[in-house]
Amino acid sequence: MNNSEIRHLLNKYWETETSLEEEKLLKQYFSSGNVSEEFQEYSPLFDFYATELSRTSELNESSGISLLEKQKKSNVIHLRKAIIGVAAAGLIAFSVFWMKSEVDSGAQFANTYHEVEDPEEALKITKDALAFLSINFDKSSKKINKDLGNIKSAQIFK
Amino acid sequence: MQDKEIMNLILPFKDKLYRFAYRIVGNSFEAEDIVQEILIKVWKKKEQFSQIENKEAWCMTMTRNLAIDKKRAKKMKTSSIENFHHIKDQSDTPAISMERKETVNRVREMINSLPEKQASVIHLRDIEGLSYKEIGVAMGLSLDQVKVVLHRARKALKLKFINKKQ
Repeated sequence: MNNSEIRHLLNKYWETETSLEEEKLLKQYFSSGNVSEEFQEYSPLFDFYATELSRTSELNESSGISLLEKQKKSNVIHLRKAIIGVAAAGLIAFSVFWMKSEVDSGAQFANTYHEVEDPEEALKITKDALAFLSINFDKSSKKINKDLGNIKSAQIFK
Repeated sequence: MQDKEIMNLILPFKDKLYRFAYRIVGNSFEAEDIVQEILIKVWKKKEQFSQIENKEAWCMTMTRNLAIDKKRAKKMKTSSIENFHHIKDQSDTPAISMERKETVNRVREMINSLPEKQASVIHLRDIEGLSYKEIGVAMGLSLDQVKVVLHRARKALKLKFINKKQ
């Protein structure tokens, strides 16, 4: 291409009237190493375009696939963490619910409390309570005596 | 969609994504991270992604959004690209002379000093060679808007070159 053609193309380039093909021609001209003095001032611009185009990413098929594998593993770890988090939250919620129900049942028991004013009734209740205590105490002492007997009969220390 | 299928869809334009991210964040490590994040995003939305007609444009949009977010978060200034000399050196080939590097960096600064939209449109058109339609899809602009933004960007660039000469 002669200087007049290049001049014309450059003018079109600055006015944004060039096609992709014409821009390719300009790039070829400036990378030819045979640029006229008249257009030297614009050489750095087209040098820059060519230099930038030579930059390449290091990503390739194997590095990409291993990156995706790592991502999958990290997703599994995140899922595990999420499950543990949900389980912990559930446990806390259950504990709170259980404690609340315990407090409520205590309150219900407190509501059934009443003072006995009739001495006869009070005596009867006391006797019943003592009888209940006596029966259970008797049962417990029999069981203890039996167990002590078993321990004695067992030859632990030979 | 299998992992390999996703890779086969992404790999043909991963360099474009990388360069677009690099233009915005200004260093190769961040740009590489962005490409990887795009891959993970695609993998997470694989069902949706398989139905997208223009996958490249979709990925370019995602790249731009991610890169802008990262740049904002780290308050990185692309105009102070000289701070990343050691990083740039890793990605430049040894064949590029110091002088050429400096000239290229001056042009980079010129482009990065343009408004972000103009710099991105210049990148997509003059480096990646995308059509106006493709740029429009990637940037969320109409065809006319792309032409206007590109025209303003080139005009501003030309002015910078003229001022530099004087």
